[in-house]
Amino acid sequence: MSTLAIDTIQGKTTVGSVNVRGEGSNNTNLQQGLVKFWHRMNASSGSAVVGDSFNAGSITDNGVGNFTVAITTNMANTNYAHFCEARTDGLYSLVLGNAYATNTGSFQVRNNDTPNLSSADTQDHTFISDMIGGDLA
Amino acid sequence: MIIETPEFQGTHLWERLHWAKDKLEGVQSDYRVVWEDPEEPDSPAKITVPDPNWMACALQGGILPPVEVYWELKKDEAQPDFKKHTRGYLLHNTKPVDKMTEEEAIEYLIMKDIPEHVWKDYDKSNRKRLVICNKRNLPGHRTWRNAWKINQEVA
Repeated sequence: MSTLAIDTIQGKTTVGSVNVRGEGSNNTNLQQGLVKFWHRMNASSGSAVVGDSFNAGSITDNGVGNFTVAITTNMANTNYAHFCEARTDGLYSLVLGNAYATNTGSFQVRNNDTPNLSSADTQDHTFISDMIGGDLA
Repeated sequence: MIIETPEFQGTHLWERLHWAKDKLEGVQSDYRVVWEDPEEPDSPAKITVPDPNWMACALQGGILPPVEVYWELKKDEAQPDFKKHTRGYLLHNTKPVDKMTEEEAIEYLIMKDIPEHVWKDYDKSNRKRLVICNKRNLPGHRTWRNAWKINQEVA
């Protein structure tokens, strides 16, 4: 087995673009495949608390099940993909980031007590995770 | 143990955060910023909580860009023809701010993550709309969360 010990991988043709050979003839672009933001927080009591994170600035608790998440390194545009998963012992929620305002430096999400966004009440969950994929500024 | 921050001016901010994540312990602040948006009078009070890894960067110094950089990007984004940032280099090339105290970091965060019309001249309005407090001063539960308002007598 060989060990590759290096500090930096960069593209030869374009510095910020590295292709990784995937299945068959497929190429995966390394930079595009990276998660650019993540955090996990608890909003079950008092004011919400972030357990751990990357590229996060703050969270703003707007009310029950309603949070604005601020990013430290802005996204290049607002066309990024956001995924949120929230759950509490038997309750769960899957939320898309376009439920509320999306900016390059923040996004707002709403957590519900069922996956049905149109009819469900907002809910404070014990575990809330958010992730972003897209282009950085 | 004292950890020296490398010279980061010119290094992509996201890359600096990688360094910080590897080298620094997260700092859970006890400070909370409670605020009300005058443009949303029927909404409950909002509570802004600093991220622990962000706070570690603020206290370390030499990592985060000046808050004015975020204002510039917000201006660009507010343009009607905005499609993507073309001045993202401001985040990476502007000289990073020196280490802050926790109180200074909270002030920075207010100016970065809370709308300007809330924090500008906040202490001159008839109704208190922004308060920095210890988390102990907030309810430890979420009962009637959507009815929470800033107590004007205490504030």
